Amino acid sequence: MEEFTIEQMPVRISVIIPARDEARSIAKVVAEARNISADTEVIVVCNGTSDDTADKAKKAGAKVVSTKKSLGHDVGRAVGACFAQGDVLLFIDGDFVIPASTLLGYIELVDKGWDLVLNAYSGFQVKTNIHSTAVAKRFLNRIIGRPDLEGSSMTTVPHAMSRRALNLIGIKILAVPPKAQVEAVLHGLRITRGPRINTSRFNRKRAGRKEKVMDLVLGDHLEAIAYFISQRGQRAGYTDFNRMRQLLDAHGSSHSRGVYYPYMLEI
Amino acid sequence: MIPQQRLFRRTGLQADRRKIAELNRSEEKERTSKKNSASAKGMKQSRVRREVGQIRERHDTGIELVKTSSFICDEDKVLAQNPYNLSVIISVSNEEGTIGELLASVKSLQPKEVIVVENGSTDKTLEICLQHEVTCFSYPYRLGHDVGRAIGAREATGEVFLFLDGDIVFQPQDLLPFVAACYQQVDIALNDVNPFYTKASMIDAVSLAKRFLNRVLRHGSLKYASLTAIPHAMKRRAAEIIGYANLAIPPKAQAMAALAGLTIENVHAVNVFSTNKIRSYNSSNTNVVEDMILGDHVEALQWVQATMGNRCFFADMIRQREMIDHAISQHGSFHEGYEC
Repeated sequence: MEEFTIEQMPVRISVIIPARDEARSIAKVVAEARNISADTEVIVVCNGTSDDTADKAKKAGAKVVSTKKSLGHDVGRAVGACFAQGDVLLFIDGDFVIPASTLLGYIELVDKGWDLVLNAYSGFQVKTNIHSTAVAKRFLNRIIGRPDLEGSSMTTVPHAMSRRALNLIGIKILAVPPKAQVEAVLHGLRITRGPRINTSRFNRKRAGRKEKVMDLVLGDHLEAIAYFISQRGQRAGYTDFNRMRQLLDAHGSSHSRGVYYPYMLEI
Repeated sequence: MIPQQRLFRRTGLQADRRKIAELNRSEEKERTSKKNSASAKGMKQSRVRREVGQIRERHDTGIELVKTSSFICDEDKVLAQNPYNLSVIISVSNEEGTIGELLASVKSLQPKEVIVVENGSTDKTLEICLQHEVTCFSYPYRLGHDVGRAIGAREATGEVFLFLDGDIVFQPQDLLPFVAACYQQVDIALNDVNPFYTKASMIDAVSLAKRFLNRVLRHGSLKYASLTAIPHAMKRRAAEIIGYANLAIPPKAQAMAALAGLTIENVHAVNVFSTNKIRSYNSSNTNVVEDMILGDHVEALQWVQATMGNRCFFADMIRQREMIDHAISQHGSFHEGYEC
């Protein structure tokens, strides 16, 4: 009877967890997500799994969306968002456990009126040694006029957004996170940084995946930059600081300049 | 838990960085102490030579994390070739304080010609230039950033172009490696600024832009090196392939060179961080210059994307994006154990 009433409660928070062969950790991840509040639904997007991730997620109390094929990075987030009913959407990964109290920090910021709350972690950097994806993230934020976000990115989980934000930027764009971030900025959404979670420490190493993921993330940032340029025009609106470009293709004789050759001195 | 292997790698890297920082510090000390003691011109020359030697030594020890070039800098051979092949291109605006010394220094390279593109000067810059044996193009108005390089390069007759700005005086020994590299297999010889990045705070927006562009062009080992910075040298052939007009937007020129398959290398480290003169626009309009350089990088990326697609070398072969449409069509009809 009690369980029935919980099911009937209107969902306020949707936690979306794409998962692929995460049987080791998924039950704990789902349990922590459910601990956020009673009106939280947990959607696990199980794609291309060969183990019992889906069963374990279901047992832990998640709603499970399964696809036979692997969806590829970040597509699971968009698919999960299609089924989300909450006013607040929180995106996390299935491969590492974040305590409910930390996740709540993201939800609270959305409740305070922020549209998009990013992980404050800026990507791998030790002194002057920066990972190239962190460079891409910082560069993109600077170009779109949000250097204050440093290297915080929708590529990284966790991040939370309001229903309003999702409606404005659209579900499909979530599959290319940096592009979604650009869209959020273009729509003037209120973006801030939440708790800082160093995801590089958790990311499970999988053979031959590292290079592929790095290339994917770099390509995503290029796609995002291309989108930004398409909205802002030539040079994305950045100044040329009075370059006399018209001279570059004109013959020197039309430059109205003085010309002095060294042999002039000898005469 | 950080895997043991990664931990080792990280600490190893830090040790290298520390060594570089130490070398820089000791070098700086030596430089300042010698500056005080040596005033005679002859002594000045030998001091400079030893400094260059130290930097080269650092390349040899392999402490540098970046790829270093394999070219040979035989100074006598280079100096013998210069009168036939080298064009030095200097764009200058209101630099009466440094231009005379720079031109004197450049003269000892024995170049075929020195092309000065003087623009919008209101001080004695032009007078000083004309006291030297230079080809001078004098514009009564400002050309804007880097436009002088493009104009100068178009007028140059040599086979190798060495690009400088009028505001920093370089010693000849610091310039020869760039020329030497271009006499050999290198098409574009860049200033290897990477060893001078010793603090995280030095990685500003412009540095990020440079590094990102290099990475996107699959020249990640160049790191922060860029045609935006001087000194750099290139073969005439490289300038022709890029197109002289494009030299006015250095990151775009670099992108074009990279995609054309030209050999771009970091050949020699000259510290331009500490010597960069603070100009009026650098102090009051820092953001304007920064925005301009960022704009240059955006323009470069725009060109790369127009040439080879939005994602450049990084096509997305992994994502099944059409599955989202399928899921959207299921909207609202969620049921436990949904499968697609």
